[in-house]
Order: sequence, then C-alpha cells, then structure tokens
Amino acid sequence: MSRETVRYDDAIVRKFLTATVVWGAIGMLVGLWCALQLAVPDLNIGPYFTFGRLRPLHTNAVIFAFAGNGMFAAIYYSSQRLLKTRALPTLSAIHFWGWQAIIAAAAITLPLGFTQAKEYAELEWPIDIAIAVVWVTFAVNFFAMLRNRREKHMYVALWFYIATIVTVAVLHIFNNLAIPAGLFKSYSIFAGVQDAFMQWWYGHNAVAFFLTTPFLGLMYYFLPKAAERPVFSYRLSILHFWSLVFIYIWAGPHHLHYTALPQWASTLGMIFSVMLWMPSWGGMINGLLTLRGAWHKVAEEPVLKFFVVAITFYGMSTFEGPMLSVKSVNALSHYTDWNIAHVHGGALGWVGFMVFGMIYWLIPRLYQAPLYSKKLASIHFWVATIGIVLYVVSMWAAGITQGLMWRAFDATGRLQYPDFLDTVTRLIPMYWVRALGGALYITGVLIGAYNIYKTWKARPATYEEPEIEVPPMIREAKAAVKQERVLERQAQPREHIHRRWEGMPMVFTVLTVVAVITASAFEIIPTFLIGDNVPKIASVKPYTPLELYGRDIYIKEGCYNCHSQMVRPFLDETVRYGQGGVPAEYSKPGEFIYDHPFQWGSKRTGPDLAREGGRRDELWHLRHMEEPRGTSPGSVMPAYPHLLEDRIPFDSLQSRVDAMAMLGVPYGKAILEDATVSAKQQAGELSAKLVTQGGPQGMEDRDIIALIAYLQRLGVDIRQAKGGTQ
Amino acid sequence: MSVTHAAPESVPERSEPADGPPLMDHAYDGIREYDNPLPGWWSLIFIVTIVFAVIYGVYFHVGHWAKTPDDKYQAQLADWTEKKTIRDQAEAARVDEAGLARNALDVKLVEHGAKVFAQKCVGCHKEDGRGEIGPNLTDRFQMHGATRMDIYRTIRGGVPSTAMIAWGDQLAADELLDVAAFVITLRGKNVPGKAPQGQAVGDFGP
Ligand code: HEC
Ligand code: HEC
Repeated sequence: MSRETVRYDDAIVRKFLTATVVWGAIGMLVGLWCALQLAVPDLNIGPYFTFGRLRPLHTNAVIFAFAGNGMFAAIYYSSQRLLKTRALPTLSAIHFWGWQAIIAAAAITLPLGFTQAKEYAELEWPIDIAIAVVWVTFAVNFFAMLRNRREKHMYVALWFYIATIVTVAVLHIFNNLAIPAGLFKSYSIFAGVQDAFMQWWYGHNAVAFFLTTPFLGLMYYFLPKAAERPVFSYRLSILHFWSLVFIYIWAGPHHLHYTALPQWASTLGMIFSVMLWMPSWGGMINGLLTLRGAWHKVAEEPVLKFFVVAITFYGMSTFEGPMLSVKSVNALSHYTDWNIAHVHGGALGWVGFMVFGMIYWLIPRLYQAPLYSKKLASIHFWVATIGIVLYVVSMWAAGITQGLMWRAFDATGRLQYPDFLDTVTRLIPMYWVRALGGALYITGVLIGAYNIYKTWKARPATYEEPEIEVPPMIREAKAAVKQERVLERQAQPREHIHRRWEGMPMVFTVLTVVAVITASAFEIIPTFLIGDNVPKIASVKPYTPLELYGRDIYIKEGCYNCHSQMVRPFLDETVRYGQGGVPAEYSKPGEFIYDHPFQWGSKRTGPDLAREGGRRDELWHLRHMEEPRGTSPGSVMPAYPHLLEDRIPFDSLQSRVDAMAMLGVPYGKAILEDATVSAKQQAGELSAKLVTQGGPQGMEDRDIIALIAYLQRLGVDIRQAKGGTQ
Repeated sequence: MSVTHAAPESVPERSEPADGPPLMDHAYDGIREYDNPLPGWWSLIFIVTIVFAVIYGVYFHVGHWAKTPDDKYQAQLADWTEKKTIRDQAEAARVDEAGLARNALDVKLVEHGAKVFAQKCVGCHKEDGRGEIGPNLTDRFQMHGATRMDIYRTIRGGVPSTAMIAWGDQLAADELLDVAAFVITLRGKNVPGKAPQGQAVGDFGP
C-alpha cells in the first residue's frame, strides 16, 4: 500500500477563531447594554436601540456568531484530523464569508425592526434562505470530509457533529416556514397553538443541537488532547449519544406548561426532560472522569480550568433544566428571570468556557507561537468565573422574587402586590448585580482577546503547514479492505453493530435523522391534527387591517421580549389581569387561531397583555407609550415617542391582509378589496375618541393609533363570548 | 517542507498502569478510549426516570386519576369568590357618608391619603389634582354622582373601559378610605387645570 500525505487547512480555523472572538465580544457587549437598560431605561435609544430590538440582536449574536463560529472552528480543526483529510477550501471559504455576511445582515436588520418575532428565529425570510444555503454548503463540506476519510471509523466527536448538522437544518427550515408580505416582512404559516409548538420545538432543540451537541463533540476532541488522557468510557459515549439525540427532541413543550397547548404535549415535554437528565450527565461524567489521573494538571493549565468549570456548569444546567420542566416548579419559574439565570449558566459557563478553553489550547498551535501569557489566561478564567456566579445568583434571586410576588395573596383574597410595577422596581438592585457579573465576564473576554492578539503578533512570517503521512482513502481502499475484512472475519469475532455503524457515515447519519424525525413526528403530527379541533370560539374574529398593522408594530418593536400574552389557569393571574374586580378568563386555544405568529412571550418584565383591551383608555396608552415613566413612575419600559410621529403606511396594509388571507384568515370581501378604507375609518374613530379624552389632535394617520387599536383588542373577543363581564 | 509522521499529541498508553481499566484497541488522532462500564448509579437513575415518566403519563393521561389544572383552578376560584364577598361586605359596612365626612376632617387620615394619592393617582390626576388624563378633582363638578360615597365608589370600583381602574383590587381597605378622604378635601380648591367635566355639584354639604 502506497503512503500518501495530506495538509490540514488551518487557515480556515484561524478565520473562524478570529470571528468567534470579535463577534463574541460585540454580542456580549450588546447583552450588557440590554442588562443596563433594565436598570436605567434612558439607555434605550429609540427607535433603533430599544430593549425590544437589541435583545434579539444579543441572543442571535451570541448564539449564531459567537457559539456558531466557535463550533465551526472546532469542527474544521478536529474533523480534518480525526478523518485525516483536508476540508474543501472553496466550500470552507463560502461557508466562512457567507456566515459572516449573515451575521452582518442580522446586525443591521434587527435594530431596523425586521423580525419574525420568534425567539432565536427572528431573522426575516431572505436571511433565513441565506442561512439554509450556507448551512448546506457547510454540510456538503463536512460530508465530503467523511467521504474522503482515511480513518475507517468515526470517533464520537464526529457523531455529535453529524447530529448537529442534520438536525439544525431540519429545525431551521420547519420553524421558519412563512408567507412573505414584503421584502422584509413575513407571517408564519402556523398560527397560535401550532406556531407556539413549532417555535419551542425549534427553540429547545436549538439549545440541544446548536449549543449542546457541537460542544460535546468539541469536548470529546479537545479535552483528552489537553489532558493527555484517554476518554473515560466508550460505552457511555454510545449510550449517552443516542439517548441524548432521541430524547432531547421531545422536550420542547416544557416551554409551554399551563399555556393553551394541549396537556398531553406539555406532559411529554416534562417527562422527556426528566428522562434527559442522565443522558446529559453521561456527557458530564465522560468529561470529568477523563481527567482522572490528570487533576494535578488542572491546577496549572488554564485550558483545563476552563474545561472543568464548563463541564461542571453543563452538569448544573442539565440538572436545573429537568427540574424547571417539572410542572409545579415551572408554575413558579415560568416567565421569570429564573430562566435567564438558567440559560446563562449554560451559555456563559458551558458554551463560553468550552470555547475559551479550546481557544487557549488552539492558538499556540494555530499561530505557531507560544501563548503570550499563561497568567493573563488564568486571570481571564477567574474574572469570568466570578462574573458567572454573580450573574446566575442575582438572576435566581430575581426570578424567585418575581414568581413569589406575583402569586402572593393576603388572607382576604387580595393580591399582595396588585400593582405590577412593585414587582418590577423590586428587581432593580438585582439587575445591577447582574450587569456587574456580565461586565466582569466581558472583561475576561477582552483580556483573552488581548492575549490572543499578542500571541498572533509573535507568529512566524509564514505558517508551517506540515505534510502528514496518511493511509489511503477508505473508499479507494475498499477492494483491499474488503479482502482484509474477509480474512479478519475469519480470524476474529465480528465487530459489534455500533462499531460497524461507526464505519458507515451514511448509515449513521440516516439513523440519526430517523431518531430525530420519529421523535418529532410523535409530537408534531398530533399537534397539527388537533389543529382542526381547537375548540372554536364564535366571538373570536380576525384582526381588522388597522389592528393587524398595530400587531406588526408590536412585533417590530419586540414587545414580546418583555410581555407575555398568555394568562395561565392560576388564580393570581386571572385576578391580576381581570377588570373591575372580576377575574379574567384564562387563555384558551381558540383565541389564537388568527395569530400568525403567536406572541405568547417567554418573560414578564412587564405585565401580561392578553387581557389588555379595555383595561386602560386610549389616552393613557398614548401617554404611556410616549413616556412610560409619566404614567408609571419607576417603569423600565422603553419610551416610544417615534410612534406619535411615524405615519401608518396605509398602502402596505393590503399586502399584509392578503398574506393573512392566503394563510386562511377569513377576511370579508370588503376588506379583501380595499383594506385601507376600513383602516382609515377605524383610525379616524379612535383618534376622535382620543381628542374627547383630552389627547392631541391629528393622530389618525400615526402608528400609535394602530398600536392602540391592537392593544384595545386584546382579550376583548373572549369577554364577549362570556356575555361580557362589565 | 518537512514530512512528519502523523504525530499524536496524546500518548496515553505508556502511562497506563497494567491493572488499569481496559483500553479500546482504536485511536483517533492520538485519542484513546477506555472500555469502562457504565457507572451503576447512572444506569439506576436513568431507569428510575424512565419508570417515573411512564407512571406519570399513565396516571395523568391514561387513567385520568389526577385533578386537571382546570379542576384545581375552579376550586380556587370558588374559594376566592367567597372570600371576596366577605371582604366586600366588611368594607361596605365600614363606610357611609357621615364617616367619610368625618375622615376628611381628620388631618392624620388625610395626610395618609395624600401619600397614597402621590403614589398611585398623580400619573393621571397630577400632584395637585388638577387633572390630565383623569378629570380635574379640584373643581365643583363631578362625573359620577355627587356625594362623598359616590367618590368612594368610583375609586373603589373604577369606571369600566376608562383609565380609571378599580382601585378596590389594588389598595388595602384603609388606603382606599384615606385616599377618598383626601380627594374629598380637594373639592373647591379650583386649581387651574383640566376643564370641568360632568355636572356642577357645588361644595359638599354638612
Ligand atoms: C424592557 C421591557 C419592556 C418592553 C420592551 C416593553 N414593555 Fe411594556 N411594560 C414594561 C413594564 C415593566 C411595564 C409595567 C410598568 C408600566 O406600566 O410601564 C409595562 C407596561 C405596559 C403596558 C401597560 C399594561 C397595564 O395595563 O398595566 C402596556 C400596554 C405595554 N407595556 C405595552 C408595551 C408595548 C406595546 C411594547 C412594545 C412597543 C412594550 N410594552 C414594550 C416593560 C416593557
Ligand atoms: C391611569 C389614569 C388614572 C389613574 C392612575 C387614576 N385615575 Fe382617577 N380617573 C381617571 C379617569 C380617566 C377618570 C374619568 C373616568 C370617566 O371617564 O368616567 C377618573 C375619574 C376619577 C374620579 C371620578 C371623578 C368624577 O368626576 O366623578 C375619581 C374620584 C378619581 N378618578 C380618583 C382617583 C384616585 C383616588 C386615584 C388613585 C388611587 C386615581 N383616580 C387614579 C384616570 C385615572
């Protein structure tokens, strides 16, 4: 057999690594800005940099830019070596530059308010298409490496990469199905309950397959390398990989406990989350126990310090997750900042520290110069660790405080904190501690960036690209191998089945897809079948064209980042969101059949708005939107004075209505022929009402009128169904 | 450029004690794997969670042996409604026109009421009661009724579909009484502000 050589493409790894650090720093700084906005609302700089527009920018940047680029660096570095083959340079370049262009597009469009208003899937349809194209390019590049491999079997890291690549593609495509109503405006093809289900099937599995599996793969490569120890257990790898991939997919509905989602779905979300605990901990055990016999190295090696803390946070988060998905715990934690604590334990601790551990291990190898300062790396580690602890602890405290204050009744059945604002102002000190924690973490990142920069400065004039002697490609060696196999088989017992799959990437991939699709189908199909059986409520009618446009403003401003629209069947909620001393109806599935997309929200920094209609008068809304602190002293809601200036684009209403009609929303003939007439009439009536209340003249063509029309509609239909409570 | 042999950076084999756990016979880029068994506690907890999942699912969704969230909610609601009726009756028993008139003369109570007003009402009625979103409370006009009890009732029950919410849900019984007392003292101060609304009612009688 002739010996062949290969050179690994490390230039692409260097590129992704730089992008990781640069976007990471930017994304986290935007996060810090958002954190400070909740303590100092004047930091909302309208219209482009309000909390509702910046928070999606932060989440998208840290997930897709920081974690994304970090994952790509890891995958390109390790896969080439594990498969002893070179990535295809053209595809790598398209992948890299395409991904950066997508991030840049996100950074521009999100502040402009172009959004689908589904968490972590905010980007509008043209960018979604670009993401799909670039992701497929990446997939082709990766599968080409598998095809050209010179190592028969795939190491466990590669299993996790495969799961990531195929599942993310499926999730992204299905959750983003939408009907365009303009270049940067679309409506989800799903409505209400189904849309919520799809979104959290996506959202939860984005955590699973974008923030967990690739980083487990990363761990399986870089941890044994750095520790110079064998992986603890091959058998555990197999078991926890398959159980993780199969079980994770079911868990999404735990984001929707006690909502209008059917209860069986909610139960599936909970019990699969509980079963997910050990599969997740399998990864943690395999990580931590790999360090047996290398603990002395942890004390002196920053790389290992980062890994150990990362894996510990992984273990903590994957215990906390199942706990939060137990319904009775979720009743307290849902909509509170506890979730923010939970996600940041995972994001800052697990993902962030895995990435930085990897980076510190990689840069001497990539820049072919010794790390500039091990001491600075240690300082980065300690500063960031203290940052995470402050962050997580303050948000735990905030979340539990919120949850307990919301539900507190006195002995006579009166809410102890009926004014929602009291539950907001109580959190401000904790928001300051959180911001401090975040600032420390970012300080660490900047120290790290400096260390990387100094190491890079000391690089050689040209990088050495060693030629590595490798065995022939498996597919070319097939004939010979087959021969060998026959002999082998006669000589020794057959490989066990999983070992055989490890040598068959296509079979392995298909099995992964089957696991993911089967699990999904079990939940998705019934959810859509009951779609037709959602008990209809006769009084629930489509939004008028003006209200629909008002809803689009709600979406554009990202109000869902602070407000939920979902009253759960809890007494404290129906009493709090009731009117005139009469408890509200809790939310029913039939209310949402025209909600493309759903706007149930996931966090209540502000009160729930599902029953807002009629709660306030029009003038109050106008003044409140113009300057919330005028009507609600101490509020942290951003001011939206531009809504009193911006004009309603009446000529765009028809295309919005038509897109909704395509989705089956039953608009009458008059509106389908001319939506503008109805909109102008409703706007005229509302603005006249404003004037009688003592408000300003001339609002009939301003955005604020449309938004008020929408807010005043919320929850009104179902009150009529009950024959009116007032 | 030099040709190197695929040089694995991890060299675990050498350092393995002979009596250590068995190593798998493969290596990837120098990475080796032990063939350790699954930790017993891990398998045990995994099985327990699976058993729990099955029991939970059957208990709630096959046997329907548990109360649904709606059952629980309706029970709570009934209980609450009863409490509220008792509270409403108790509060109603405490208040009448003469009592409100007396309260409005009690400096301490009015001072407390002013505090509540400053916290909860100034957003719409302004610091001195001259009105903005809400009506001017200092003129001799009233939108809802004419008496002190009417003022109390408006504050407690609110005015549906207006910005004036039912403060009875928001304020404790004492706060409600005292803020009403304070508002009663405003009548006739005639602070320039929002134009009069409602009917002319003059000053309060004795
Ligand atoms: C930073 C979080 C935040 C964002 C973003 C936000 N709000 Fe609020 N909102 C609040 C808080 C806190 C309150 C409670 C205090 C108050 O009344 O201002 C509130 C209150 C409200 C209320 C009053 C509810 C009631 O009856 O008491 C309405 C209506 C409202 N917001 C609408 C909106 C709309 C519409 C948007 C988007 C244009 C929006 N909010 C964006 C935080 C937010
Ligand atoms: C969000 C704005 C708002 C707040 C806050 C508010 N009010 Fe009002 N109030 C109004 C409006 C608007 C009306 C007129 C309702 C109508 O159109 O009938 C009103 C009416 C009244 C009236 C009846 C006046 C009349 O002429 O009959 C009284 C009394 C009153 N408010 C007292 C209070 C008190 C006391 C508080 C604080 C506990 C308060 N209001 C808080 C908006 C508000």
